[in-house]
Amino acid sequence: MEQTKIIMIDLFSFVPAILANVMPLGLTVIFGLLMLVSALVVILAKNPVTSALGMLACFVTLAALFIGLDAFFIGILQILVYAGAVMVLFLFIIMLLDLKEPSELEMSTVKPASIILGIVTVLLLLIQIGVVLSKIPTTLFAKINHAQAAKYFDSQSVITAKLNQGILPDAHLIGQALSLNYAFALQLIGIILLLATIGVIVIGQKSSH
Amino acid sequence: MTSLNVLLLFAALLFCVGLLGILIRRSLIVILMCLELMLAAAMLNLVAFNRYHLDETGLPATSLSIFIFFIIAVAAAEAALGLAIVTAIYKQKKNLNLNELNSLRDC
Repeated sequence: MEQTKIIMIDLFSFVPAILANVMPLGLTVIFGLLMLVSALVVILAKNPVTSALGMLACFVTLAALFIGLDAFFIGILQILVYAGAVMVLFLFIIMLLDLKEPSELEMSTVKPASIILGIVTVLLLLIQIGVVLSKIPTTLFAKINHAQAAKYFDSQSVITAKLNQGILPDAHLIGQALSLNYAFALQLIGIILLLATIGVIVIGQKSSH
Repeated sequence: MTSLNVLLLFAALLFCVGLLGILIRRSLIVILMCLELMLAAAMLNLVAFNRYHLDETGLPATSLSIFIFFIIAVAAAEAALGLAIVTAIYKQKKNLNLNELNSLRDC
């Protein structure tokens, strides 16, 4: 019994203590700036492969922000689904299409009017958001009280055991809610993914005539 | 300590970068990537609200995590369908520049 406990190493217990409760401002700003720089690489790079790699960096730093916000499961899902699956799909399509014509790659065909209007639109949106954010009061996070929260769950469950150890078992919590409260929505999302698969096959197959 | 406003500002900036990309780039693939960036900005907002608003048990609200889970699933389906459409367009037109894909304009 002791041996199995040692073998079953808990992934989340390795998350450094500095990240375990909302991370300090310095780390947030570093990861946030990295995220913005790689997002700018996406829109400014001439080569689509560079864009795709910039997007990869953007999603990895975003996952770091998620983990810093105690959303471990969502952070890992972000890396698996976006950095793993979606990014490979993008790179695969870029390689498959083999775009060589300069008009397909370069921004030379962009009209200056669209650049100016684009920047103006974005600046207006940004000013609005900045004004709203400067008006609302600063919200600081509340510390999670694990032992207090443990009382709300079944005393025999894994969730309670982990909460008593001071670990946030968010994968277990999401799994419980998915199978208890959101079972119908989960099946619907399965149908949506199935429809997407069928749609991709239908669009992708050779036309018969 | 990080306040909610810092995270919301980063999410807003990421959204604006994505929007700028959609407005100024003419390559279909890059525009699809920018759509993903904007979805990711919305997800960052949700995760931040999730952490800063604890529910009655004192833990981050689980229903918001599930909302993000569904957004990820829908975004994956959207990326797959979008790229299938991109390949279909490329097969027909041998071109992915939006300025030249205007056959629906004068209908």
